[in-house]
Amino acid sequence: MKISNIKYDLPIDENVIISKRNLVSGEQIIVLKPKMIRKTIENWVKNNFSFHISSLYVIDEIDRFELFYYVIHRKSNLSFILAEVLDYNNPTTQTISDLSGTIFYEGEATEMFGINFEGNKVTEVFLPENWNKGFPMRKGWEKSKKGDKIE
Amino acid sequence: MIKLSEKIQGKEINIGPQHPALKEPETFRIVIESEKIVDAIPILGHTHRGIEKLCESRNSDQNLYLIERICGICSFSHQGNYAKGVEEIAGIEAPPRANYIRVIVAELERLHSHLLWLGVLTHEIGFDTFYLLIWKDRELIMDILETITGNRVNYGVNAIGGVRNDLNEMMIKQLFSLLPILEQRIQKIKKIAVNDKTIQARCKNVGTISKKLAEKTNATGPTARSSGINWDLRRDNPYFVYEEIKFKVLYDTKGDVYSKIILRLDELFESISIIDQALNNLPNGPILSKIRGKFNGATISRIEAPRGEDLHYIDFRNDKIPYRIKVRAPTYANLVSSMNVLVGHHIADIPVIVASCDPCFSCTDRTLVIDRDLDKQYIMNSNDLRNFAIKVYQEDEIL
Repeated sequence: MKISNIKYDLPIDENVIISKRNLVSGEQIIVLKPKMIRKTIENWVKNNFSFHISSLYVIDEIDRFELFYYVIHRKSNLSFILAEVLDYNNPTTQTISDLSGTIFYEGEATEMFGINFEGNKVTEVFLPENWNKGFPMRKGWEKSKKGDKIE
Repeated sequence: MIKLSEKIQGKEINIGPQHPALKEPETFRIVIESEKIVDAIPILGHTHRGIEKLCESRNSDQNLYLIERICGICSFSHQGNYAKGVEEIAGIEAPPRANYIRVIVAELERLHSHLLWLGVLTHEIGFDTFYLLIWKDRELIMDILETITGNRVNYGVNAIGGVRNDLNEMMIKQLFSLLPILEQRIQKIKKIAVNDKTIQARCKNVGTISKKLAEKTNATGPTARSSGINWDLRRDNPYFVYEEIKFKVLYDTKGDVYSKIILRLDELFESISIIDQALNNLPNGPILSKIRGKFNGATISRIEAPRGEDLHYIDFRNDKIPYRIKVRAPTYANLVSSMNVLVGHHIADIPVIVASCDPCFSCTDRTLVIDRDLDKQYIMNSNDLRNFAIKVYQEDEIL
């Protein structure tokens, strides 16, 4: 059974949706207004909507960042993506790590892309302590060249 | 690195980067009061190799072999998942025979991964005879994987559009003769696991993950299924040819380490049945659809790896080189729940609980103990910690 074939009314306020588009695999990407992801998830928790956040990923679109939460609703076998567009110079949103187990996913997005999750103190997950060479997953980041001094 | 919570007082134990659960580097910073764990924080990154970044400078075929090397145990799962994703973007399907071969290799991988895990776990509880017995039987699977693919670890089976290795008559015959032997051996292993009092004493009611905790922390795979979450991508979002194969999705509700052992052993019988069905229904025909050129589109590809859901986001923008690849391996999803259940347990339970989620990092043999009160620190190796755990249980006359 293909996930994309299942009809289900998502508990998302239509007023906070900016746009919708689909991935090749069929999942719908629902882009929400800034900082509305936390409010949506809070509503789900409050209304006992059981959800599973499978992953969080960020795409550097050069002039902006796009933040994606891959959500699975197991009961209806439905998966979709909540997305938010972040300003390139000040990529800030609110954490949901207290509502779902995303603490390390957010920490990874912070250290790799420089996304600031208000309320999440985990800012270093994979990179070495005292890393000061910028955000390596950004498109403009340049890796060390042969012969560079290693501190 | 992750910073410790400021308000927590007590002694800190740094387990790792070389630690006693698996032979891969990973640090767990444990805060204790007396013998009891009050906080546990994993410090990741010791094996971070920047694979996602490297993928952005390699073409789709080169990435096949890079992505395969994410993991030495579930290498097929990562490579198969990536190949499946690129095929989705390209709008082609691998030939039926290729998909059947993928199912066979995927289930062989699950068999050896689960047995490897059980061996490690029994080693941690000091039951080395059982550990060696399990790993001896695992060799049968490693040998057949080597026969089929030419390799024991990174098989290199997948290509974009199918598989590189076909199964010949001799291989099929060998597989058919291996399956009843494996079934018999696993039954023997299960009989020991069910009846042995050492395993029961060290694993029953230890590291229990409730269904609520598993749901809140986004646990996946056998870790989630042993806590009552009835979810398996092979059934719930079928890929390759799983929709044509009959199998049961097993789950338990207890959530402790013991239930994870029994669940994984029972899953092995299902894997054997899946391989048997795949071999019986193996169609004739080509094994590879050739694809050339640039790709355009983004997809999320997911498969049920031995440890749980493996997720790849793959994004091509009219190019041979991907714009972005994101990999979320199952251990990353299971870490939060495993760290949560450590709280309230004793130091002696750390090896078993950490090993119980089948973590996939690297590890070794060093434990740094920091005594804040006395302002001193000392180092234990993994054997010290393992022996300490065995001694504690022996003194309590549990074993």
